[in-house]
Amino acid sequence: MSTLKEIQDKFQKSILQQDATIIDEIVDTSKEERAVLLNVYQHAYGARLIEFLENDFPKTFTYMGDENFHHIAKDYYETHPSDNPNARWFGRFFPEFLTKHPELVNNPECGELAHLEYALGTAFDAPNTKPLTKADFAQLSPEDWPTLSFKTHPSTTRLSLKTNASEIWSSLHKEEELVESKSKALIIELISWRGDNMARFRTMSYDEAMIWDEALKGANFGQICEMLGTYWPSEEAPLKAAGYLQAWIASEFLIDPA
Amino acid sequence: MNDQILSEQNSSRPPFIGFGLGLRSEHYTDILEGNPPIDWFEVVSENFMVPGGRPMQILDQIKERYPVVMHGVSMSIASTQPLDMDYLTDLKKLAKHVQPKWISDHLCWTGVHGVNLHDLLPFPYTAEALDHIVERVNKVQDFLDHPLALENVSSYVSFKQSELSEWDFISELTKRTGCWLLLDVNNVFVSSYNHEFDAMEFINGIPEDRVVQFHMAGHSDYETYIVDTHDAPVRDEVWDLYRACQKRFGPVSTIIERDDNIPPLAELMPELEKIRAIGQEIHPQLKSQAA
Repeated sequence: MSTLKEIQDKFQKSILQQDATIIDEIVDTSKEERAVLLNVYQHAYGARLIEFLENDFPKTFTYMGDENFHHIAKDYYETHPSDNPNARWFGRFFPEFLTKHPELVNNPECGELAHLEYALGTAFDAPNTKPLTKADFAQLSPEDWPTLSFKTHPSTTRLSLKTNASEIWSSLHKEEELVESKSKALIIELISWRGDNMARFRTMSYDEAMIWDEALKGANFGQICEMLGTYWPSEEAPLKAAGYLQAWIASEFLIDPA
Repeated sequence: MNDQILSEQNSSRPPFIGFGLGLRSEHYTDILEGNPPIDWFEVVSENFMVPGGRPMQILDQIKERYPVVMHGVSMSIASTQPLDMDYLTDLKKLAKHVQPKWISDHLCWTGVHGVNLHDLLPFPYTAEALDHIVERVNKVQDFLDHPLALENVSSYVSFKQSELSEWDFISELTKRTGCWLLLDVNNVFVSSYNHEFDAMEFINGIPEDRVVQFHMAGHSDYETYIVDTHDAPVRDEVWDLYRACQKRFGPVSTIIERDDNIPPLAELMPELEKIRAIGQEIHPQLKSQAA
């Protein structure tokens, strides 16, 4: 006689492997064979996980089409069974999975589109950490500025795209004619965040993206000004830095580093 | 759980809060802009067990206007893997914020070995399973410091080893843990069809004083079995069972639980009015209370 643990082990194996391991433990009814009844669970498993991915990556799903998306989604759930009680996190490896999938080697926009959608999802339900305001910076004395360090709001994600995935996202969002995918000669720098309770993204110029990434690694305001000196005349660099900082504060990108 | 808390839970059945709906994102705008005449909402706990942002802001607005009950899908109370204390900690944190009328989840398991199958899975009704689940329910109620209501699930397979009927198993569980029951009337119908038992025998086998909530929902009929799809209006046979349930256990707070193929709010309102009308017909005092 099997223990509860043995039965659950066998049942789970029958679902994950889509096999008949549990079949001797269950019974036929007068109306139906047990294999058919077991299949209700076996079928529901994959269908449900694919539905989670469709919901979390709706534009990637539309762009790839039913058949292609479902095929790759099946590869995903077979190699990445859900390990979290909350389905919200099931798709967290999906963008990278698409990026590395051998069948999508000529379609890098699929992975980038999914990365962008995941970033927007992160923006949507990231922690409500209080952002820094203009008033917080007004309290600083002039000597504080050079050593000023930064911490970014948890709703922000930086992306560097090698394709026009963001244009594809926009055309799908506006329900316009789908733009053709193409690789970009130059990288598109993006940031996504939550503003006015909406998940948003915008492009960043190369110098803004550079100082953002460096600030994230710990560069202080003085160092950022120096770095901007590689893009701008040294007398303009502090003004540029101040301008970017102002924009970040207005968009609530920054939080108290303490 | 200490005896005092258990005894308080036994003696203080959560109040009747009327007739409501499962809260779905498709209806947020209509609810917040229209304040529809819905007595209360059941929210899926996991939808709000996220770091922050808009989901919690919506919930805060809803809970200011309506009573709320928290309904989870991932406690996995019947699993043989250890209780997920991170999950329970998050659930407790959410409950502290929401102050729900009660907390519910399902009498099932969702996975073992760290895998979550995201399904409400059946298990054999044995003495071993009962002992195991009793211990876990007691631990969860103790940890949450909140009474737990457990829901009967729809199931499609039965196990050779089952020694008890589902209703006897549930009755024993309530006696030994003091837990409440969320009776999904549609699930009773689905399981009675699939496992060829009399739904009324199930209903009459459940203790009269433990049911705090009913779910009403639709299903899909595949002739040789029925699947609890929760994607369609309530079927006639389930309405008949609902009447029987309100008579036996009532008045019991009830919601329409639609999980898929979700129609506009206005289309759900007639079903909501029907569960209310039947409840008031069987318990006329509810009508005078509402007036």
